[in-house]
Amino acid sequence: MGQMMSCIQPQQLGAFFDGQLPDAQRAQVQDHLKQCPDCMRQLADLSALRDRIVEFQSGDPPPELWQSIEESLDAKEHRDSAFSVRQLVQLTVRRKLAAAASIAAAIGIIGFAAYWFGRGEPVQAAAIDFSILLDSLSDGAVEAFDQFVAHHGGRLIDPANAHRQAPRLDFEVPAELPGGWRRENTYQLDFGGTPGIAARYARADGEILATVFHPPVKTEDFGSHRDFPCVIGKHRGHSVQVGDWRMVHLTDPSTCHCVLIRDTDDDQLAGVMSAIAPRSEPVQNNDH
Amino acid sequence: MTESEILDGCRRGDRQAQRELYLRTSNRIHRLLLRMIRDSEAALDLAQATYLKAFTRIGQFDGRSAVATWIYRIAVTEALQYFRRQGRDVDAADSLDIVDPAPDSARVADVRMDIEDALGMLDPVDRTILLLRYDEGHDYRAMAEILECAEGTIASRLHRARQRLRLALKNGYCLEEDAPAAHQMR
Repeated sequence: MGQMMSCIQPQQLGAFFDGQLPDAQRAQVQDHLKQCPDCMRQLADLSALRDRIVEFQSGDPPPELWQSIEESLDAKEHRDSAFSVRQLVQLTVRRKLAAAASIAAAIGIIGFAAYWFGRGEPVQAAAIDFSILLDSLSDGAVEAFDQFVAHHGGRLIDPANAHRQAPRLDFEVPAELPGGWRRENTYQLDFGGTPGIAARYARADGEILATVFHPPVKTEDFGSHRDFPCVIGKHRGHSVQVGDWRMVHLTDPSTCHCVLIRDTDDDQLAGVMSAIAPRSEPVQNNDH
Repeated sequence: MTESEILDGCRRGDRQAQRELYLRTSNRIHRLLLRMIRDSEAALDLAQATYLKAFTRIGQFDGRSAVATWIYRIAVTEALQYFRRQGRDVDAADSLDIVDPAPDSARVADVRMDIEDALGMLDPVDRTILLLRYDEGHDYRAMAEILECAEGTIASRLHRARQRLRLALKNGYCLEEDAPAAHQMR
């Protein structure tokens, strides 16, 4: 009988149990298990743990769940952008029946208001839909940014007028940013009737960087992407990573300052943030 | 209906295709959310949010994973954002020490813990990892896709989550770091 290999590391045994080891390692573990009662016990323990996890009994979701989804989809089709998806979700299953009458009335009022005040102009979504930008990055950052700008009614403006276009926001759109970025275009955006500002920067190597400024009370929608808390320089905020791209959001009481950038370190980002939010004070939380 | 037909239909906004996709996935998505959140009403709200997002963004599904995996990812994202809105730290495992008290320790609970309570004591990401693997049967690759992390980290995260779950089951309510969180979940 050959010399027995030392006992299997718990993490490796877990991967073996999960059927996730490559064939060669799997064969080694199997050989070891044949002659090691301790590891066999560990394996049995994993099996028992799994059995306990799956023992949970749950029924089917109630039929009201599909009904609510269908009603929300119908409502969305009828007045496409009067509600954002996030607002539609507020039509919760549990409140569905009780709220049905008032929601129908609200849709009617909003629809009328959209017609009366918009006079045929599309009503912009109240939420800030960053998912349009993040999901399209693989098609090209410029195209993704243009789609985002178009979705929020972007209008090209003279950067010198940016503060006048969004007087409640505190931000800067300098002609240059640390790292060799030069401003290309500046836009006024419409976040459900509230103005925001965006700017696109380019570097000599063709890379782009985008900044977006919006009121902190507006809801951000990152689609299927997740945001994580982060600290950039003196500020706390949150960021979303999509491949090499990173979208960082730093918020102060007046403004959320967002930067979309690729392949950068925190020091360079801190310099960019200081340039676009020079008066922003650190905040103690990352809430929006 | 094949998955391809369902996807094409969903992209056109066809309600029958949307319902088919819902019927094929909703039991599992609802179950996962229910076990992650441990609040039946909130789980329904999040399931609704998940499907609304899936149907309104189906054009952005790139086909690199199964559509069900993509829906899981939306559901998990919704659930973790729910925890953040509740002020919960969703991924506290790195900062927690795992302490295995001696069997005669006064801290050892008298009552053997229910599996749901034990899962509820874990941070949401650890709980999600265990549920995705053992309750939902996802392989490491799909789990990495759903959790938007590197595949190589799944084995170590699973190992740590199993350790913590084992301790919770063994020691009852003595994982002091997590105990308040468990009560918040109720």
